[in-house]
Amino acid sequence: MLIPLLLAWTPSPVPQEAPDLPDLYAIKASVLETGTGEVIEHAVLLVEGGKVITVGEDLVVERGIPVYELDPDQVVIPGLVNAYTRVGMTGSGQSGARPWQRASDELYPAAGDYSGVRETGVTTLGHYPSGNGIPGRCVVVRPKGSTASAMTIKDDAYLKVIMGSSKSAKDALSGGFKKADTWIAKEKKNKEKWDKAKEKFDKEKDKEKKAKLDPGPYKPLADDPSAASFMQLRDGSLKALISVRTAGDYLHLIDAIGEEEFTWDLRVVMTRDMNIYHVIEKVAKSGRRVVLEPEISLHPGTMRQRNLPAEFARAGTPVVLVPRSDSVAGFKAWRRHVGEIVASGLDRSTAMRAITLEPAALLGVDDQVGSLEAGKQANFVILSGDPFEPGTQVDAVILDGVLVSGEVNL
Amino acid sequence: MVVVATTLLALAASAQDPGTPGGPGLALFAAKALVAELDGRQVVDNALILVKDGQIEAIAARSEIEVPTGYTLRDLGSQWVMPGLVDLHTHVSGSGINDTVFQINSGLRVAPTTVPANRNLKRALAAGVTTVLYIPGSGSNMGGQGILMKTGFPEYERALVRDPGSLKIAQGDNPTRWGYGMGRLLMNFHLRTVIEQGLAYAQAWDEFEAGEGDKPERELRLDIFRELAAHRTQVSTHTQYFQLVMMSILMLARDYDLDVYIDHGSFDSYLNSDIAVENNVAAILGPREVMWPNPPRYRTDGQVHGSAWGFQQAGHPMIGFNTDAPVVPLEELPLQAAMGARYGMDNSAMQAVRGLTIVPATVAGISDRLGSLEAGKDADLVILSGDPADPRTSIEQVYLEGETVYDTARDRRRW
Amino acid sequence: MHIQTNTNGRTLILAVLLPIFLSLCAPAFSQDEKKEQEEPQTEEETDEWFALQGGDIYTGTGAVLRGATVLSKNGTIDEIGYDLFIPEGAEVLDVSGYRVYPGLVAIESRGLFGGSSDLANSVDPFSKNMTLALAAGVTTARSGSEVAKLRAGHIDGLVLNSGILPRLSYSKSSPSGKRTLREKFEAASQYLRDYAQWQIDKKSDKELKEPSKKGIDSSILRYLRGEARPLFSASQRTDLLEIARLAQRFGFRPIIDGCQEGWIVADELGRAGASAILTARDRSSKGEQLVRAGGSSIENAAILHRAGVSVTIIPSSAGISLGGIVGRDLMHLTVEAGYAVRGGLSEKAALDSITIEPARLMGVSQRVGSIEVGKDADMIITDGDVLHYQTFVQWAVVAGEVVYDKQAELYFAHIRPRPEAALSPEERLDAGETPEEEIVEEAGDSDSPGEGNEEGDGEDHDEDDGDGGSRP
Repeated sequence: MLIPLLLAWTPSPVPQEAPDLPDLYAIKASVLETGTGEVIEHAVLLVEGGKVITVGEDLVVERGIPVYELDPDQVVIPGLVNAYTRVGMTGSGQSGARPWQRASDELYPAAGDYSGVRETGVTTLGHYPSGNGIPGRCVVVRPKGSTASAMTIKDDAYLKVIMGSSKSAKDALSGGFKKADTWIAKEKKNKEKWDKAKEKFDKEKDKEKKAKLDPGPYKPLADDPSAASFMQLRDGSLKALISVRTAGDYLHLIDAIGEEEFTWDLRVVMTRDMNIYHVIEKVAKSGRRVVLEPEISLHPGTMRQRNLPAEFARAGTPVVLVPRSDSVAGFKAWRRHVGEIVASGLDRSTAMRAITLEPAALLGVDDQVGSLEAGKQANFVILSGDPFEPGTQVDAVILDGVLVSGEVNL
Repeated sequence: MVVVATTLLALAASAQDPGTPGGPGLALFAAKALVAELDGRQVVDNALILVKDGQIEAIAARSEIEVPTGYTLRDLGSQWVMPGLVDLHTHVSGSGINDTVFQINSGLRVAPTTVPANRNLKRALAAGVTTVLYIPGSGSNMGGQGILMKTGFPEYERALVRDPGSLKIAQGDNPTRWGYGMGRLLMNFHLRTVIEQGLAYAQAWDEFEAGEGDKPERELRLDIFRELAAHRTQVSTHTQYFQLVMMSILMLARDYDLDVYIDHGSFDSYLNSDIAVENNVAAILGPREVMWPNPPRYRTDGQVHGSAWGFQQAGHPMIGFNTDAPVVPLEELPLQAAMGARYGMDNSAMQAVRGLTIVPATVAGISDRLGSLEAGKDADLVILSGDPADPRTSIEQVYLEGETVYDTARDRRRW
Repeated sequence: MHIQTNTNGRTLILAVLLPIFLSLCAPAFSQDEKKEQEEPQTEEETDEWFALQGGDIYTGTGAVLRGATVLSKNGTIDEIGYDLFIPEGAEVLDVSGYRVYPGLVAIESRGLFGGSSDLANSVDPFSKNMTLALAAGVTTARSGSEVAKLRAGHIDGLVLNSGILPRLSYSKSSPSGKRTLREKFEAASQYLRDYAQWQIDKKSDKELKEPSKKGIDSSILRYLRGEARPLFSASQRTDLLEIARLAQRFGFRPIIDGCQEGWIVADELGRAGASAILTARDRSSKGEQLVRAGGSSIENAAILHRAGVSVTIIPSSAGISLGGIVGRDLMHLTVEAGYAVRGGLSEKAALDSITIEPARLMGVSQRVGSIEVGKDADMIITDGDVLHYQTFVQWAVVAGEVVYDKQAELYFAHIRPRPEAALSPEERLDAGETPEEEIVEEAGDSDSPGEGNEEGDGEDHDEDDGDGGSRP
């Protein structure tokens, strides 16, 4: 029996519907998954100001701090991180190479989807711009907030790239770097030209002539937004998430990248008959992450089942999982589907990491979210049982320390 | 080809060719004879074949029998001889064979549309195909009656082997095009209805002729069932894939005791081998000889399954080949057997050759005349340079009832 | 590592001290010694060796080497023969009891590469059709205007040539087109004559202007110069004669696609130096009212070949057919060649028609089409006469790498599977061991693959010396 919570109201920055949690409190749970792979029993989670202060086994809680003791069946996991979603976003994108565009420009905080998202336990979303080719940059948001900036955790998390076995797709990528080179060369010439003029100006003794030769302050070339994006890739301030469908696409991707060095991760579009297994070794060697869906594929031409997430994981690739269906219903079914993949051979701790810390790392926000560690945001989900069992319900969702869904008893 | 004439030609005035009806005898020496008996000899090396009056008089190793006096000798050197090939699913003896007037057209006959020894048949003859079952199309559930005929005679009466050659039943999806909203349930109902009517008709006539009943009214469309009930002709069934073939076997062979053979047997039909054997239903396979993996329906775990392989694996003893000409050109009948062998059928007991000769002949009820080199059968002989299934083998001569109807030394090579 | 230097104890000492010296002081010792240490190391790291051992090698040049070895280095054939030295780390495939043929060349293909016109950027190297084509023995194919290798698993080193087989039209169905083409040839021909004259005359008269190239078709110039050969599509006797005459008049060698009535005018075509691309089983009838010969003939390839026309054979369908009717698509290229043999073409010419002849027409014969030193290591290993209908490709090698293994793929592994004892390509041997003895022992019964090979009473699938089949 749940006892409704009665607390003194503390001024909270965001108005709530659900009963509030205090600014400082502790959660006691029989089982807590940290998201790093560690599972803590008799766990104590201390939250203050929306952040995790400390988490550990059988910690002593100072007197006066409200303690919420969970049922022995209940399990605490970090808030789920979906690195590749457009739930909450509408509109279709354009195709082509527009790497300067931002998904953040499309954010619509009042979208009704977000409350549904919260209820499923997903606490961090990576919104990508829609469209083919290179449609732009992803933004990482929390599914709560009345303004875009309130929602935004990080912008320009990655550059979305769709790669295929075609000259146009490959040129979009390799051509982008060439554009950067061209721009750099032009800029260099521009500077050289100015330098020469300045030199001449400096040398000139005659005051009249000198006045004429004054080149003025240096005017750099106008930014080429496309070139700028690729230069950002080069200097590491931007990374990419590149989608492929087939093993052939992957080989063409590597060919298109050529000698360029930049940070990127791989996403494999899941279809029923897949041949990506041909390049699992190569992908594992490259050290890139792979974004997959928790789905059993069939070996082409047969009914033989292949657990691609498990195969990639076994080969040493860091795996990120996203829901099969990009919808609130899909988010609800996400843990159950991951559970099926675990039952078919995916290592359980890898699976937990694949929906929490690994996607957070892919999004570059693993310093803030993705796991229950001291200093990170207090994003966690209280489940009625094992996260990967089909019948498990979401009892409560806490986002930035605040209860956003469900109930927690005293 | 060396022609050696012996003396004592008493019939100098006779214009009859040796081996033909009324003519002197013919003796052929061949390096190898593919005898293809149903349950006996398959091959005779260094064979001597005696042909008289259009029939095979004797066949044995050269050392075992003598050439009777007056017989013309033809030494075929290193060439082989085999029986003429039989194709039980063809549509090229004529055209206009899909009169789908009703859904059941049991009274229609292709016989009147036949053009004997037409271009297609001539080319097929050059490939060794001597007898075909010419049947209606599959536009309706019962397309009509086919005829068994020889490919090399230009006169209809001489070419005709048997009319009715078969009753063509198509149980597949082609007939659904006949009627809007029509499916398997309705088609099988109609088939059963007509078959029951037909069998009752046959019984009534049998009783009348035995003096036990009144004279029934004559119905042209049901006459064929008298032939079927008396097992004087068979049902050639256009049927393929598992469920369909199962129905063909159970409904036609088991329930109604008709002589039936499968006349396509593609895809996963071979899964029915056991009930086919039980109910004496042969598998005459073509034009598809192979099934590609296509899960979830056709599950082969990625393997390519030959139809002949499939039936043979399950122990079916009567496997034949057809072309469904013009889908596969009639002259490529031997290639169908080659493909059956290629894609897994064990060919160590001459199964490919048998599937082109004695199996279809037996199944069509004409093995008393055709399908193997045995005394008393028609002298329909194919003289060739080697393995009949091998595309590289060339056919030099074809005899029909002792008459040289194709000879590359005399005619232009047609195939 | 077996580095053979001057064999005495001093070598050992040097081997120990050398690295120390190198790291301490400037090289005071001979460059040669240093090289001896370093060179073998780099060579063995970068060179990829591959050897097919023990098979009967049908080189395609007329020579057959039984129980021999083909050694390839970095994808190119390095040596063919007996008792070859196989470098350490080489991948060795024992093919005793099997035959090795040049990879087949398809001058027409559809859908093999999975991509579009720009193969290097659009090929799907894992495409099912490519695997099936390799299963049928095809290792080189033309797709559009590019000719490429079926390098399964790779997207580089693919395209051998492009812009090939340009088409010209010269048919009686378009008299004005014919006239235009003739005029172009005449103009180009005249230009060449004028140019040649100018070369002579300008020696005496320096001021003489070079003849103008304006209005001269540059591709026609290439044909007249012998730099390229035009492709015509023609099947009727009159068209064929006209093309032959055009070719003889202006001095080029035409390629004729279709060529169904070629057998009627074979001599003319032979004199014109024509090459034919044909399908042996093409059927067309002559008009009933014609008295003279007409229509197609199964003897077309044989008659053309005897008249000196080079023959390339293609199947009636250039793609891979998965409908279930087998024998007339690219997977059955050898069947089509078999039908040409039926018509009288020699077995050697039939094999040439699907290997070296199409390679020549596409300008890639210096790389593929036969097994010769210096050519690409593109070969197929079969369990019998490649033109026999029951023969399967057991392995396909492209650029010195096994890209297809019948036992490793699911399609045909269950059909007359290889005996267990046969070595798989993964096994590697060190050069020091003597592989011959070991392999012969294990693969003793792989002389002809297993039970399924005793078809008939020896009447088919026999392993004759090159003349295959059972022809008298």
